[in-house]
Amino acid sequence: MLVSLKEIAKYVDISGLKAEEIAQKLTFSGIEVEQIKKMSEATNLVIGEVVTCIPHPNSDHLHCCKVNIGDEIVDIVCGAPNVRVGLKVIVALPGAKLPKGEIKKGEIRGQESNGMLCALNELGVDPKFLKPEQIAGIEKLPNDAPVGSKEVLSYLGLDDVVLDLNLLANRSDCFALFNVAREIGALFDRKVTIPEFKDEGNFASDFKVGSETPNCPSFYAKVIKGIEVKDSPKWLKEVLRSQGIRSIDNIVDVGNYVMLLTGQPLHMYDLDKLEKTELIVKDNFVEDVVALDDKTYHLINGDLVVSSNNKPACIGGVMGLKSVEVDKNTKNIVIEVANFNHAAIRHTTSRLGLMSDSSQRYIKEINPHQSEFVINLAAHYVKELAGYKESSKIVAYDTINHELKKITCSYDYINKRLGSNFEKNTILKTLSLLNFKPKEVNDSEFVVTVPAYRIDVDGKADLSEEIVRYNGFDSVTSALPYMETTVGGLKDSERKERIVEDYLLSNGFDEVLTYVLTNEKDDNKFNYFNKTDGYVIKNPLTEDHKFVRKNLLTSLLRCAEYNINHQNEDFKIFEISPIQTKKVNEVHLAVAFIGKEYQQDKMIGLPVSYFNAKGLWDSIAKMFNISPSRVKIERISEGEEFHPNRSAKIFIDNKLCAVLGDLHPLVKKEFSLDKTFATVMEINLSVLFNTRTPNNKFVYISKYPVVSRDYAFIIKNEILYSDIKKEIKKCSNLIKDLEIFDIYKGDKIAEGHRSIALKIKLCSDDHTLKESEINEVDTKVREAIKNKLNAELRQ
Amino acid sequence: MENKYENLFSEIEKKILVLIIQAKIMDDLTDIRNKYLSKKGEFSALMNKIREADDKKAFGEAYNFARRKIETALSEKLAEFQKAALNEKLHAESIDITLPGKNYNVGVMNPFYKVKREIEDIFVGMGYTVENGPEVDTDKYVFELLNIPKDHPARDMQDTLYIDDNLLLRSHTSSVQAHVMEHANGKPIKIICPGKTFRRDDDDMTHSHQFAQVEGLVIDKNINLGNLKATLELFAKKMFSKDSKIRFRSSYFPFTEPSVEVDVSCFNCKGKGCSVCKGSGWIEILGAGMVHPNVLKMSGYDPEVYSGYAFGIGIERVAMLRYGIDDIRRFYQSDVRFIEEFNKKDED
Repeated sequence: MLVSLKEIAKYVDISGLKAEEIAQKLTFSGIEVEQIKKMSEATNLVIGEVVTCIPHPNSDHLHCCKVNIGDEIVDIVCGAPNVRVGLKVIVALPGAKLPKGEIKKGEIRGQESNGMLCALNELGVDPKFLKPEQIAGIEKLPNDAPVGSKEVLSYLGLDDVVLDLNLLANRSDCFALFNVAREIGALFDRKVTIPEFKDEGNFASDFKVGSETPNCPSFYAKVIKGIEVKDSPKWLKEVLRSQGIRSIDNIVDVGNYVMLLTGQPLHMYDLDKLEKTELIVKDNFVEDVVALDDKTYHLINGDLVVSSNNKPACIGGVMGLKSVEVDKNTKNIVIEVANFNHAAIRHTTSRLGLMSDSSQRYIKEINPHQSEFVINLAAHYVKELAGYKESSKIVAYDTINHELKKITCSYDYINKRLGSNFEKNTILKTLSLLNFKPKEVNDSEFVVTVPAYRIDVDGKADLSEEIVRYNGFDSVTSALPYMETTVGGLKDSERKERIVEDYLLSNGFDEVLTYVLTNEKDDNKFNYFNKTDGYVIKNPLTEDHKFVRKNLLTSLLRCAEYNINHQNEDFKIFEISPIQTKKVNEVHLAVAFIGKEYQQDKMIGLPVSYFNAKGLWDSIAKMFNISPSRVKIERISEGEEFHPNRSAKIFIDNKLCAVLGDLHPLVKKEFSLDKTFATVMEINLSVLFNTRTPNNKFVYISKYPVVSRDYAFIIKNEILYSDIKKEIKKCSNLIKDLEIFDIYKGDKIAEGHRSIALKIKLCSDDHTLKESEINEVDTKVREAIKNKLNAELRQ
Repeated sequence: MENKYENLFSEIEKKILVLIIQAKIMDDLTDIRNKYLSKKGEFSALMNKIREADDKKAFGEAYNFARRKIETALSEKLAEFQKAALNEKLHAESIDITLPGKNYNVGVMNPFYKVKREIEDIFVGMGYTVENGPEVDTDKYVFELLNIPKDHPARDMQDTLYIDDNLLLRSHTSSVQAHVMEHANGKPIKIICPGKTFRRDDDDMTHSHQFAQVEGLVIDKNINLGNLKATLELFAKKMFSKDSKIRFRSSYFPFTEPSVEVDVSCFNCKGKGCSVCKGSGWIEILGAGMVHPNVLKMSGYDPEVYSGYAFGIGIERVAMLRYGIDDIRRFYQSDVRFIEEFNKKDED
């Protein structure tokens, strides 16, 4: 909303106030002034008259002019096609500062030039307010323009300052200059004068108005006859220009002007073009119509339409139709002042892509109690600017309850809510200045009548806001809340997330952040945990942000891809994030190992592999005290993302908890990782966190010596280490630990076999082991290796 | 008293001592020992002459005295050689101490998480509980219970990402408020809710379809706007700078009344005006207000008895301000070079 200070000064006394002061106060009280704009800041201008004008000897379009600027005649070279002798012009003298730069004395193709003849846009006026010929040439001032006057901006009405308001949803009342004036009047305790006109009307029209939909609860009209459509006067053009609206003709301009003043959109119909002397609002038209902008729009059920004889005449609150447009030959008009439901207008506007000054106001909701006042004001200006012969009495359809809201509130409520100590009188005076007409009920309570235009004010809490925004937030005493002490902190899950997070950070993993929404292609990858039941966005902005991800790995790999494409070679990254589908709401961790792990700078680099992920899993499982006996590991038999023989699924108590492994070569290529090493893992942390495990408890450490024995054997590849371990451990409960210290495949080992070397550690909790006991275990282990595992012991 | 046998040993003693001094390597000492001091060595052989001596005791003493002298000289020389050998070994072990050390690989958080954690820790320190809620939520929690009516523009398909008519990606973390209030059975509440939020925006330097907020909510009897002010002052001092100040500007949110925009004094220029605060000395950091009576009522709190405040902090916004990050998309690109610019240091 743009507010011209020149215009607002007609309704509120702002003498002596600086624009900055007004802006500051408005901003802090909830009406943000985004910008203070001067219409033009051009300097060193004078009004001149072209005395002679001859073609430039060295140019086919320039002219050499002598221009009378009052006390002297100056030479100026001008390039405008419309320059001619006798023209009154705007002259920018040397030293003048214009938006495009400073004017300097000089020579143009050998001819002296002491200034510039200007077009309005060269002074800083937005070209959208100018006609094409005003931009193509210099501004032609009226013949009576005072030659030699230096008050050029004032003469042009450009000496105005405009406040650009950024209005929030609650203060839509300030889409009306009258209400802005009231607000400024209240904030500075200045006198406010809102003009009121009575246009009694000199005949009772048989014109009919009505509404067949609850979305139009009131419709007022006035028939006016014998008008003359013409250009608006200079003052009105200037006001509209300062408010960002283009002048069309006196009738359209009156509609816009009254809307600017009151916030109530109006519409003007050519009475003689209406099918019937009636305007009825309906919402059931399904047809194409041509609007004032010459475009065709398709109406559907629910669009509010003002109709005459069941033919659309106006897309209610949005735009009028071409067929009943006021034009140069219009003699008789109907003025509409209606109330349309904001939601209905919003739907129509956004569906048709038609946002107008009028629909914008309806969408923000309008004051429903001022129809009569508005229509009279409009009639007054039509009379003043178009000289009507006859005006009818108002015809109205109105189902609105016009009783104003009353709110009873205590002084204590205000102070308790704000943490303030306002005196009764301060509260009453504030509300009074804001037009709430407060009355004392008793010692502790008062009652207010909410002004009609403050549709945002509903209850006591709103009154507390009025008090504090008016008196400033410094009046609030800053004090921490006084409450019963409770133990704050993280929820269990988040606390555990932090343990994992910190562990990974300490081990050199960088924590990344990625988008939850993904595209269809990526949505179909790595779905080991949640294969189906993903959410799909109904109104995505792009196809890339259409699916709510069902896993974390895919986006993590996209992040890895971004990094590889941006010259990062060896890195370890992870992300922890909620994963939500129609079935589950879990927390996942995804980790990617990319490239090599180096021991020192870039020396001794080991390519990352399955075992990086496996080792990380082992550590995390250990951190959460998951007993190995509850863990099951399987090869991944489905899906095509992992290397089929270097990947695994891990279950805790038969619930899938992790997938990990080297990427499949084809998948690596898809993520631009084909030239490096890539191992990944995704853990469903919710499964891990929710697994109940025994609490830590001290266990006695044996004080008797540990004896160890080494075994080396050749065994078939299919027999897995986990089976070997299980079989050997079964031999004796004296075996406390089992470590693998060599695996060898090569020349001397038969195809399909490998050599494994193990160390077992024996110990008893209550005595030193005897030679015989040790030998007994040794024999059992050798037998197990030979007979149970079918392996060949090496010497 | 002089020992009359002294001279008997002095000549050979002198000779050996000279040999010891002249020894060049450890083997020379071995040779000397073998030649003179071994059982059949030249010096040892002199002991045989004891048989011819009349004062056997004096003879023995003189012999031992000379022998000790030689032994001492030998071991001193040996020690000398050993020390030299060790020094030589240590010298050979010299390294370039400026080479890089072994990799212990410190990982770094995207600054997003750093700021999120800091905000959480500040409020946990004040006794707040950290709550979570679903990212895909229903209309009831995201809008209805927050006093955002059915036809409110915020619900528009233009701005919010919908799954169906009822399900949507939450457009603010205020929705968690509604969940917590529903389960609190009218008891006091003191929570923050950090989390991801989504809007139907095109991504550019300052807009992102995904971003994160930390919502705060306190409900009890006698909670007032001054409590909110003090809380946010404390937050600003911890988060930005110990001499930070805040100010309120009147604003509007459907779920609070009064509503305020909160500005923090510019921590870059200390309020003098700079490019960070665009010359004003203040930076807008969050929105807040007193919980709207309708919100309390809908969640089972009597607004005549209970009151509360709520605030919403944008995590990326705070991180961008604090570190001078130019583009919100950097958080989501997660270039490891970007991440590794931010270490674990506590900001001053």
